[in-house]
Amino acid sequence: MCGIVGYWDKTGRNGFPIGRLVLSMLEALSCRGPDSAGIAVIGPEPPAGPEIWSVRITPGDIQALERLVEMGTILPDAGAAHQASQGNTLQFGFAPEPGLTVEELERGLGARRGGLEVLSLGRRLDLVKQVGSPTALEAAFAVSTWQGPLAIGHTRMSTESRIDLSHSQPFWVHGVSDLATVHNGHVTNYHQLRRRFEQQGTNFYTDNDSEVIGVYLRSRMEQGQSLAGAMADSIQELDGAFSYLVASDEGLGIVRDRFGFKPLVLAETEEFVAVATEEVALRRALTADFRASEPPPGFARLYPLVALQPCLV
Amino acid sequence: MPDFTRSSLYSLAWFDGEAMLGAAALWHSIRASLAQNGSFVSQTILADQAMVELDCGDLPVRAINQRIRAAISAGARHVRLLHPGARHNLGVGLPAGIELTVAGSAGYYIAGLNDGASVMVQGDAGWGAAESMRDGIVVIEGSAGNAVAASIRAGTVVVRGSASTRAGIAMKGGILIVAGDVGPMAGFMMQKGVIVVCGDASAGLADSMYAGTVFLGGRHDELGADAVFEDRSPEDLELIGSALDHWKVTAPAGGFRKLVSGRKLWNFERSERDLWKTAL
Repeated sequence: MCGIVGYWDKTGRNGFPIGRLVLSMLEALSCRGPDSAGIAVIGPEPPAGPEIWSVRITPGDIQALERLVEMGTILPDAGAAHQASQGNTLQFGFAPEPGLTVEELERGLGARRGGLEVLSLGRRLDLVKQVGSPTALEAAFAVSTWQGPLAIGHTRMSTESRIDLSHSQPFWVHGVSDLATVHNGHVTNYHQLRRRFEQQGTNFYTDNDSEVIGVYLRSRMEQGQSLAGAMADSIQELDGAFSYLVASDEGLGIVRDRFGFKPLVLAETEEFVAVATEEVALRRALTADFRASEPPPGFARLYPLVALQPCLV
Repeated sequence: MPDFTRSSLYSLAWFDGEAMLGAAALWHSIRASLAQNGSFVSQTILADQAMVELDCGDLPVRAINQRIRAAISAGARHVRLLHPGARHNLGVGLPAGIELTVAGSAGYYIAGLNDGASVMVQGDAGWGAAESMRDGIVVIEGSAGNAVAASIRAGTVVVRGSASTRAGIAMKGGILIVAGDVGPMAGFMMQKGVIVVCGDASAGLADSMYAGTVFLGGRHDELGADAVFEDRSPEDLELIGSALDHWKVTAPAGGFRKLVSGRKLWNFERSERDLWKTAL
């Protein structure tokens, strides 16, 4: 019985306080699960110039960062990054050498299950999470100061795997820049899917069934499918009761299982798309006059960041 | 007249008796609805001295419900909830003669176990609105979530927007009127009562109904197992028209079609094995 929330500000205004808004939505749902809380934000479009990745990792040793020296440049530098470590994580900018893949960077850091883990990576993505309530998340990371047009959030009631940082959500999709998911429900063919993906060489970092959603999306996209198409395919290939949201630099994704078993409420106006497990989150955070309703079972839609019209899949 | 001798034992318990089956039960539900509180229907709720306004503010649900009951004990006949914030379980189990207005959206189980009160939600409703109502009126101005009017025994539920999945599931009497569309599996395992859908219905409409009647104004997707169209009588249409007028719902231009149970699932027949496989 987790709680998930998502918001996209359609107006594109600068400095939109997305962190404060999504935190408020999440606090309204904290009674659905006190085990952990997290938020993933797609920040403003960065200025033109060489690509810079924002990377967030579990507290590693300084040697881990030094191993990256041949792969690119840490900004401002490794020592400063360590000093700026926040909460349970270490965040730094990274200018990759041309051609470097996200996977190579993860390998370079020595990322592995149970050890150092990359929690977030992207040009625009930042993601924080920890064991505890949404209010505690604010105390550790000051997420209410975060700005951007799009964010998703999660508050967890653990039912199937341990309660720690790794098993908290949102999940960044390993190997893919700027893609994260939050999930409420159960993927009942998780073990089958996981076995299939592991045989294909995918590393799983947790025992949480929700992790397989991002792995699935990545796999479909590597086969040439669009993000919106991969979301639509997931309705057929994931079994169980689920509602999940996707934060990407492409847009906000919303998916419900074929039977509509897991709750989800959606409101769209000219200014925003807001989605949450319960309407109480929308009413707590938003004062505008709007109507909210449940997306139908089998709903899969990507609201693209660039256009103002939803893209029907 | 149904053949009870072949019915399974427990099915008898779902009906009040033979007299309440078929057209008689249908007309009873609608006539009972027509007889319900006129002032509430017209939305001209009197701001009399018996009215109490209650600001939900930051109050927990239990405190809100306790204050509603305290107000009723002190003589209030109409309670208006301000800033409900889509909280769950508001106004559960209210007695007859009480009016409750929710000035905004309500969460899960609004007016659940209603014992005869008139409840108006001036916003949206979450899961299970009016669930297991014994009698009374529940009007939802916006959209209704999953399983609106689930298992109601009598009374009227009106949704002026659209209803989500499983509207009117396992209804045991009463009437559900939806001015907009209904999601998948509306009327699933319905046992008695009436559902009126002015808009369109998604897949699985009237799936595995035991009895009861669904009137559909718009289009439908694949029908549920054992749901069959039946000719509607002039009395049916006249009563439905009166009910819609009474509850201020615009009738669809194209009129209604009538769906009932084909009663093939009442008894197991080996030759109908394939149908049973599709029934849940």
